[in-house]
Amino acid sequence: MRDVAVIGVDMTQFGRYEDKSIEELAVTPVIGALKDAGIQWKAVEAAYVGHEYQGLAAGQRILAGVGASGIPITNIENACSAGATAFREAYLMIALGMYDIVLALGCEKMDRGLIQQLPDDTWRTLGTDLIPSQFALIARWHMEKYGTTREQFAKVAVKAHRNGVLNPYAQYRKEETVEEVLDSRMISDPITLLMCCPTGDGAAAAILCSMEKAGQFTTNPVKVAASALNSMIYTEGIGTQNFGSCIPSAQSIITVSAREAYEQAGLGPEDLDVVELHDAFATSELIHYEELDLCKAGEGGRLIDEGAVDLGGRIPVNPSGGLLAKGHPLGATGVAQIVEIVWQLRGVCGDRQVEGAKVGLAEVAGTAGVNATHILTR
Amino acid sequence: MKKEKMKLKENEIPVREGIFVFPKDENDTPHLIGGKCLDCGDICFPKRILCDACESEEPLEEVLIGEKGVLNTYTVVRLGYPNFDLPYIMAIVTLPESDDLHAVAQLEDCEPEEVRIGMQLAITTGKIKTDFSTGKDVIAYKYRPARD
Repeated sequence: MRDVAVIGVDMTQFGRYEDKSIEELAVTPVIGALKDAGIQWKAVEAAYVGHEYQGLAAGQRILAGVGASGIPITNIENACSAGATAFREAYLMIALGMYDIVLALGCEKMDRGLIQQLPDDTWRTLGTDLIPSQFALIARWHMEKYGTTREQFAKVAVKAHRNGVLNPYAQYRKEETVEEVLDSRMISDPITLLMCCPTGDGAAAAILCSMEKAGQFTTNPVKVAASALNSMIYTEGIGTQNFGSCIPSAQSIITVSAREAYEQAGLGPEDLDVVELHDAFATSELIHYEELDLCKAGEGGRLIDEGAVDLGGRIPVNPSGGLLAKGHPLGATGVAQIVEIVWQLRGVCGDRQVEGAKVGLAEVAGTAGVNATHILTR
Repeated sequence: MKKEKMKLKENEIPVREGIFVFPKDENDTPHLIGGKCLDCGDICFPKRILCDACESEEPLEEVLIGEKGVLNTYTVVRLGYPNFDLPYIMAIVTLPESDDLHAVAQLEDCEPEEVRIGMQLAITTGKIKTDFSTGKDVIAYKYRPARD
């Protein structure tokens, strides 16, 4: 396996782009990432495009905007991990020696409201597959087992919005208080509206390059130190099948994925300077602290109480505002997390910069049991 | 204990085949359709094709389970799909027939403030939603607090 670098990144601000097609929206960060890398489109040898609902050959439609260069373009649907999976495929193709320069693009334009899962899925038929409710079941379990409180979950959302104010790429840039989070509309107890990530539109792009050639384009490449992609690990019963990583009593694929990534990178959670993780719900962020081994099982509440995950804390989590404030255009998210980590490692994040960040982790989960973890180093 | 509902009324349709069965007589209860491994005896729900607990190549055998359970965790759903009557209680029910065996279900005959993790549950059937195309009540397995 060859070493791989990220040499160019860009993303749109996440939000609503009702007057723009996916083709117009998603080509913007491609142009930005090419410019950032200092390369021409015709230097790119392959492209992987992650999205969930953008229709047939969306990658081809989007990239026609920068030129029909004849390269292989592969569309990837992998639930919320689609963007991260596109990044991983780009990484693997370079690591395995197939190409030297590859584009990873994540993009989405979304409807408002609940995400519709498979219409004929058994559990949707039973009314039991609502995504906020799945996470509410886990949150309630965590409260019962560890004494985690609603206030601790609310503090995660407060932190996300505080960081979102500092991020010009975030969909929401407004501070919220614990009271406002708890008093917002109840969605699925204990999850309130402000503990849910919004739907929205956006796109993010990264140009990956073999490390041996990266020196031609940059003096400061960011290395992809680990790439792990996992699907559900079937222990037993409906719980693990339907909820994938979500039932904490089952083996968490997030933990499996993170530990695989730590091993690949030769690093541990204590080596991380910054983390972008999948806070689709405030409750899940708190549990992800434990699943990523940032703390022991049951100590997620303490981590948020102590401010360890705040900017300036021991291990800042989601300085971008995370999915809760930055937004979650499904296919775009995995790449956008990596864009934020690259910017953090380059030290160009301004008010939300984690000082001296050299090691960053990006983790994105997906419904039905998908999880991708990447570690980047400088 | 109220008499188990044994058959569908005019305005009711079953949710789908292969998930649960109605009681076979007045002394019976509804059951979930699980899958049992002929080699290691492990039981799963819903029924899969092959066993995941061992390396058996034999297809799983249908087995009726889920008469009773224990509430593992729950939530009160206040935002949901439009054809469901809100709010409703959604729960994970731990079943006694095998290790780490669970079913996701709606609870009935239970107010949100009465729900407790660890409470004993019994299977029943009831309306889970309205069918979009026919307007009929869709009937599926549910759980209720065990009162006997």
